[in-house]
Amino acid sequence: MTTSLEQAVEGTQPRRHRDLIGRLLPWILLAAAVGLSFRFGKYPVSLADLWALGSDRLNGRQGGMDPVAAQVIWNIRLPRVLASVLVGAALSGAGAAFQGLFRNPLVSPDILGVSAGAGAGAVFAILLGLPVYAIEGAAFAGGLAAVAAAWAISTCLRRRDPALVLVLAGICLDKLLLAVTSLMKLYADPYSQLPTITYWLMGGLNGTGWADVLAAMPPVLMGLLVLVLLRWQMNVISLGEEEARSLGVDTGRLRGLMVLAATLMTAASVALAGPVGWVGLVVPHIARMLVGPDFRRLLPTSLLLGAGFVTVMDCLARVAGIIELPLGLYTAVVGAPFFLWLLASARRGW
Amino acid sequence: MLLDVRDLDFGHGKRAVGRALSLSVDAGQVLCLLGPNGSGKTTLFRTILGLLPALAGDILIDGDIAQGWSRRRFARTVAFVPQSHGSFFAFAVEDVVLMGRTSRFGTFASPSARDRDLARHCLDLVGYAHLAERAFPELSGGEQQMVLIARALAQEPRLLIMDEPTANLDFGNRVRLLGEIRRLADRGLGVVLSTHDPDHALQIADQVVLLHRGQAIVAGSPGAVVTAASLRRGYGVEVAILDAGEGRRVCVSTIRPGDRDGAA
Repeated sequence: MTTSLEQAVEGTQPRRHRDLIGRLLPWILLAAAVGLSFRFGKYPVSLADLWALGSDRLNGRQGGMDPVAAQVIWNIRLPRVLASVLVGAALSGAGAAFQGLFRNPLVSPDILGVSAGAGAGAVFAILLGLPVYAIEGAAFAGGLAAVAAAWAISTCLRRRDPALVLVLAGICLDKLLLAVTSLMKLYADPYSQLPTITYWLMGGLNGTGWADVLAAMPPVLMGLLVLVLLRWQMNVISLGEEEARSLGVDTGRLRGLMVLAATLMTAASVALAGPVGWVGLVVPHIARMLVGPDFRRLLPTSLLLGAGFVTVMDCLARVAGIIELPLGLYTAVVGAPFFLWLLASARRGW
Repeated sequence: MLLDVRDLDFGHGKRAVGRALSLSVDAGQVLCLLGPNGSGKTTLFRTILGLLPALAGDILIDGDIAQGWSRRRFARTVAFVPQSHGSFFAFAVEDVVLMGRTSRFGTFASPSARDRDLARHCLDLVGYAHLAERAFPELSGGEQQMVLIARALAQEPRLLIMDEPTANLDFGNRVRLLGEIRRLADRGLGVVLSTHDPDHALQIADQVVLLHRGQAIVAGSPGAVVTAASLRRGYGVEVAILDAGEGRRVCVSTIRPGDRDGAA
């Protein structure tokens, strides 16, 4: 008995140490990413500048800063950094939820066709020549409609593993919607509409303003709230359908809630930034390596790391190169090799 | 009566695996389910647990038809120890046991400090408190089995259903687990377990049901069910039941080592 007690005490020491790093590191990284993102760009902004500007704005004063620079920072840089934080957090949180729900670490938040649906909606709106806010609205609605359709199809196909059927229905719908989007591109005006479509489908935060950020915030926060509330149930449901039910979980209702929450977050993110790939797949992995699979800690860690990652990638997109390349390009170019490296060096189990 | 299964037809979809099966277990009793591979033991368990819809018949708990119960209410009364786990994510052992508490708090809540203490206690009960911090998938099959039993106990159930709990265990753990099951029953828990070894039924069961192609071909006390004749009917092999003294009986096959006599 004494030996087992000693072992237990011995075993907790390194874990505590790792705990502290695991808790603090994501916050530090996010703070560094946000600071970096303000620092670099056409108008470099130090945190002191930002603080002064913020307090001036709040007090309605005209600060000592160059009014043009102040305008740029307040109306362009700040909403853009906020948008990158929002997009990263939404995609990573939704990715962590979907990976647990479908018991598969290779699932990304758009597995059920959110991105393809949003893409089809946005492209359709562009074809009709609608204004920007309508394009974003159509993307949001298209994303939700695609997942609703996948859900409806999966409930018609009653099989032993409902989660698996849902994923398969989602993948089918995803491919179908990509084909529809390709078809619409054929009909687009190659000079005025096609470049817009191509650019939208690559994903980016170019031209994001306060209105876009404020529109995306409520669905992301709502979805997040649901995931936070269901943090423990997520652990249980990740054991699998039958085991979760025998432990007292109403899996059907819960899965519906979780899919709805994660889809709201993803659809809002896609409407805001277009389909930004790899974030929702890679970031939850890194978070799981840091803090383990317990969703109570996996969710906050994923949110923070994801927000930091997208913020840095967006900063790179703004700063690197002569013209601004789409954000989705950077997350893929950095995300894909990093993912391969993870696979090569990963320990057993997730 | 704690569990009362009446005229149950069970199976997958419309295909019945078993028909008109009845059994009942009282608090403090161990019911042992014997039967060859494919005889429907696991399907029967899944039906009793409400994971598969019953094709006909009733499942009563405390005289109340349980088929309409919420999963939460059911899990507070009946705990299930599955046969193989195949956990995907590397949860800590303590968290796995803690998941047994899920039916005891609200959907939006998390386990409390008291739940954690209880989980630790249950892990201690099966003798694996020192594994609390380990990753569940890294344990051996037998250790995983014991942890899942601790999780079932953390549910504070009144009925425990175990699907071949001894399958992954070494000889020592088998004996230990059988003793522990008997002790739990003596403290008032109802237990239903399936096993491949008639000796287990002889050692701890109050009732034995021999399942063959979904039918309970023999049911009753261990002495009445575990006989050479009924095992021949169920499994198609010749065995002998021997008296080992002090009221213990053992089941041996009729294979003789070499040509030496006296083995049977």
